[in-house]
Amino acid sequence: MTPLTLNQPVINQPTIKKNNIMETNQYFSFPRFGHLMQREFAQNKKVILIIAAVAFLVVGGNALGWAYNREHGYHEFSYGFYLLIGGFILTSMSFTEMNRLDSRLFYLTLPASSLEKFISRWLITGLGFAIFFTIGYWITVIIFKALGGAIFNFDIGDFNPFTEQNILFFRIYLAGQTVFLLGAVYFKKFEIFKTVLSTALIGLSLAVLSAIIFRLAFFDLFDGLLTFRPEMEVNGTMMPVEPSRNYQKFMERNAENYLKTIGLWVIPTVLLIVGYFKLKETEL
Amino acid sequence: MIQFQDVNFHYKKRTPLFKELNLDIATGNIYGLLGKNGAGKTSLLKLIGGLLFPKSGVINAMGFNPSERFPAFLSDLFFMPEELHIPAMKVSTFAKVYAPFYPKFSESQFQNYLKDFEIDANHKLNGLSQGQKKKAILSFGLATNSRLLVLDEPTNGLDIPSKSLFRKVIAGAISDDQTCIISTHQVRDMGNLMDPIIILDDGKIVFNDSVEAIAQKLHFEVTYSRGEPTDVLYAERVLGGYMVVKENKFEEETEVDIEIFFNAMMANRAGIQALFQ
Repeated sequence: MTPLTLNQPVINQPTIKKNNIMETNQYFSFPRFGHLMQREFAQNKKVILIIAAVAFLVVGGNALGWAYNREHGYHEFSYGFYLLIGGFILTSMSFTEMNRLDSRLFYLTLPASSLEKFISRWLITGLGFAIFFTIGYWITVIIFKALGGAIFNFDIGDFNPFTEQNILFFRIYLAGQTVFLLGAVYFKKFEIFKTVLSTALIGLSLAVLSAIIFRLAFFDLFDGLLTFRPEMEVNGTMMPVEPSRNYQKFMERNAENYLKTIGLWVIPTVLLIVGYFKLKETEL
Repeated sequence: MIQFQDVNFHYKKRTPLFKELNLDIATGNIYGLLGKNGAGKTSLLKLIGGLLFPKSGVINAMGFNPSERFPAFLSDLFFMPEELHIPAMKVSTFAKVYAPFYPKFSESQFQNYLKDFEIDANHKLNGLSQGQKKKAILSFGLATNSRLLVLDEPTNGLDIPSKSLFRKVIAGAISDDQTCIISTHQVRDMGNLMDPIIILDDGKIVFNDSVEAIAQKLHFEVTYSRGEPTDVLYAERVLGGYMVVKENKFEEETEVDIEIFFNAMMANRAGIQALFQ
């Protein structure tokens, strides 16, 4: 950052020198980031313990209930469900300190860069929570499996975090979490509700816009306003209209990868960048 | 240390608060920022602290643009707001967690200030009274040795002995390379501590000068009558007569009563400003 130039240069020289030296680490410094992470844990110790205890009881209790009904495959849905729901709620609350009027000043004047503040919350509620939850879930299942077997003769099944489905849940969480992180920075109150509502509205708007574009681009394949009839008259005969073979093959091979890349990497990256700038621009 | 150059600022959907504001704050002083409610004192402090961004113009604080909120700037600034947010932890833990962010923090100074204010470091911050919280946080703020200390209504919530202690501690703590800005309504609490004085009214700096300059230009005395209207710049009824403010045409300087001066400024701004130009 270049120090501002004023018409009256009243700033004393040693200050400028000192600031210029320190300028190199004004965006990210590992020691400062370490202090920030320590602060986050020191300040939220109780909350972390409460969340862990509640998650332990809810996951374990539900597993026992599921086993009581002699149903199988609890972990197939339960791991992903709790990871996504719990993580999204937690992420929505990740900037509560900044969104509450009484603590906002304290947080904004904390001597760490906006990038460090943003990354610390992203890591804690994103990767940190996902790993912590997965390990916690695994330990919970071991404990409740032993308890269920010994006391009630229930088998709640084994949990394997490395199945393809669970890995996909993990990745979906890391991507989806960025939506809620942006919501947490953007909205000052009722962050989770506003995030869900805005995401739904944006999704709906995009769907309507796509439909309108499709309707306009392929207007001659529509019969009436909305009836899509992919047929064209060729030499007096109605022929079906289909995408070319090459296009179909290309899509069969690549569509899933493209969608995954966009959904799991591109959109989350854009959301993180927007979130960082929103935090940087936050005023009291 | 701090310069405002043609700064414009307004809140959303509101009329301008600061219009072409220019201000110069030098190092080594304890500034008193005075003004009526809504004059813009807290907003000015927040602009200095990078908590609000100017709509146009330049603010330079210690060589930084405060809006960037760079760590090097924030670690040399301690901002104590009127309403404190206190994390639920012990006073000593608070210092342990937050001190690493302030490179010039001194643990021994912190312990001394706590001792001065009679605060036990093993007490939980959220269990302290409002006044005790302020004293604990102020002890931390002073121990950071930040070059810029911003205190918004620091004596609100302090009892009478604590106010006196506050004056003593602040006066002893601020060194020549530091600046302290105290925004307050309780001018009497701050008495001789603040010098120079900045008075803000309707988003304008209507006064920014030293107490010595006030003493040189103005004469304060208690009289039985209000005096000749042509002679008197301001008069206020006090116990036993009137406190009268006149132009100082005498060789002697009288003791400046900041509260009376502030009232005089509000009542007769043009008359007093004319003397200082």
